[in-house]
Amino acid sequence: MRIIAKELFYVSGLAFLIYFVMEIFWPGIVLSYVNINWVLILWLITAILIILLKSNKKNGNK
Amino acid sequence: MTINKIIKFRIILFLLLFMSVCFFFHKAIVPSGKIVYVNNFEKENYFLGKLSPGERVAMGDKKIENIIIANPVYFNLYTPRAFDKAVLKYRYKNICKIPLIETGALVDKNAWRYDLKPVENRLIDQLSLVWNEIREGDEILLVRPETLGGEAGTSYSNIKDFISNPPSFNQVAAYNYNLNLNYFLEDYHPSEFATQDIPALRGAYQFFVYLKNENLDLNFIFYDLNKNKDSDDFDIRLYFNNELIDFKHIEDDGNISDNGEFSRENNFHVYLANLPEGAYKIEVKANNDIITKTIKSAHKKMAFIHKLELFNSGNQDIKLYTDSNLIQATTIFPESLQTVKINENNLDINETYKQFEISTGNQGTSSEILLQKDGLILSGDGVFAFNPFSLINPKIKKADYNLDVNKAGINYIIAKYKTPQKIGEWSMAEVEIDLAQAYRENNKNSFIISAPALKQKDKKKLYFDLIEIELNGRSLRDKINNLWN
Repeated sequence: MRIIAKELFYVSGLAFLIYFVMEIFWPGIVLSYVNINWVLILWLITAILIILLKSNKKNGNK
Repeated sequence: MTINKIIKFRIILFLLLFMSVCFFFHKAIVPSGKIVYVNNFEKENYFLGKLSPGERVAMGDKKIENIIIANPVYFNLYTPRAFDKAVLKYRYKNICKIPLIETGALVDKNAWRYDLKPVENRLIDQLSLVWNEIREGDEILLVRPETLGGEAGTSYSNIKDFISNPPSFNQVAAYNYNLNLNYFLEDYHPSEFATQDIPALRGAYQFFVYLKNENLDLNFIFYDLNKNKDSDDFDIRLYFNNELIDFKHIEDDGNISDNGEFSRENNFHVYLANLPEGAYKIEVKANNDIITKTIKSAHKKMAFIHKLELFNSGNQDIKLYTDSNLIQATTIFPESLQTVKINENNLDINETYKQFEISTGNQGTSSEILLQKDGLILSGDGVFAFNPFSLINPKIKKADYNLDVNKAGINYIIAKYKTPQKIGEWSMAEVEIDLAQAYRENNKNSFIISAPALKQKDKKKLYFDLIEIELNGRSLRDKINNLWN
């Protein structure tokens, strides 16, 4: 689970960055098809998941 | 999860990201040079904006306002790159039988000029049922039946015949057609004295002068109000038979601020000799900061085309003459509110920023307009002059709802017009627009839908079901080829 979250975290982060840059050059080109906020939300959820799963793992090891 | 599976999963995710980026790049660059945007009024479209202003549109059975209740309305088209041509497709319902619907793109922001193209012209549609019609593609020639074989045997078998051997000027009306008919005034003799003394005008305007064995000689006095920011450069352009024959550019006074400091007055002399006989059009293309204090000239015939703004300089009891059928007047100055006398009728201008209009019933005749004071914007479908003998209108009459073909003695109508296709009570119109000439700002083009007879007080409505814009421009391959060549 943590590995999936980690992979999604990197891809969604990179996607947000690329989409953001594209929006600067061509306003609306991404927003008119995809709501970038959802990409950002996915990035945040995966980040939270990674932290939670990491702390669970540490607790389990103890 | 094995490393193999992790790598596969990573590849799939990055592949998806790569494909989405390619998709957006494709939409931004439009490599084929062709793209279609559709507004079906069900969902907001980022590229094709809503109809505006809000007070001229109403909500119908769609989720976005799709009923036009007053004229005109506008919409914007955002495109990530420029295109050369647009084909606008409208599906609409004209149950109130609005006689003229036109559309077009903004071509001149300073003069707020849209290049209008026909959507529906009911005069032509109705006359084509009773008059003889010659149709060649988009071009139509309508001939009054009793004219066939009439005037000097002028029965035309095709449009080319008509163009090469046209009837007299007064018998022809045109719509969306660039027809150059020779306009000559019989018994015209140039004046030897300065006959014109035009009062102060604001911003842009156009006028006709007639020349015969005389030189074009106009003395302008300009000054700059400096009320708006930006440079106030302007042009004076001279046209003959719709072709630009001379051009003068006048630089700003050097004050590009909005401090309201009037510039000094500048004389500008336009003089051209050895011009052939005919009507010439002079265009002053300026913004609202430029005041033409006066134009002095000896030309007997001098008439302003469609619109002029009389600057608020305290002049009183100004007389004008027009051949317009419909006259509109607006003021932005409370001190210029007044009652305008047009022939025997009164037009009360009792509110600022509101357009008032009156129909004169002119069809080839003229009306006298008496203004109590200046500060008015006057417009009409004809020309305006400051002397009754100065009126001249070498423009071929426009074949639209303002024209009474019987009263005006029109026997021929030539037009470039495609009758909208009827599908039940809906009409489908297709209009081609040259975007290369259109004004574009922040990657946006502005479009107008104009239906001059649509007034809020009449409670008439024009329903829209669909606006589709097909854009055509240079493909990526053409652009690359151009780079190499």
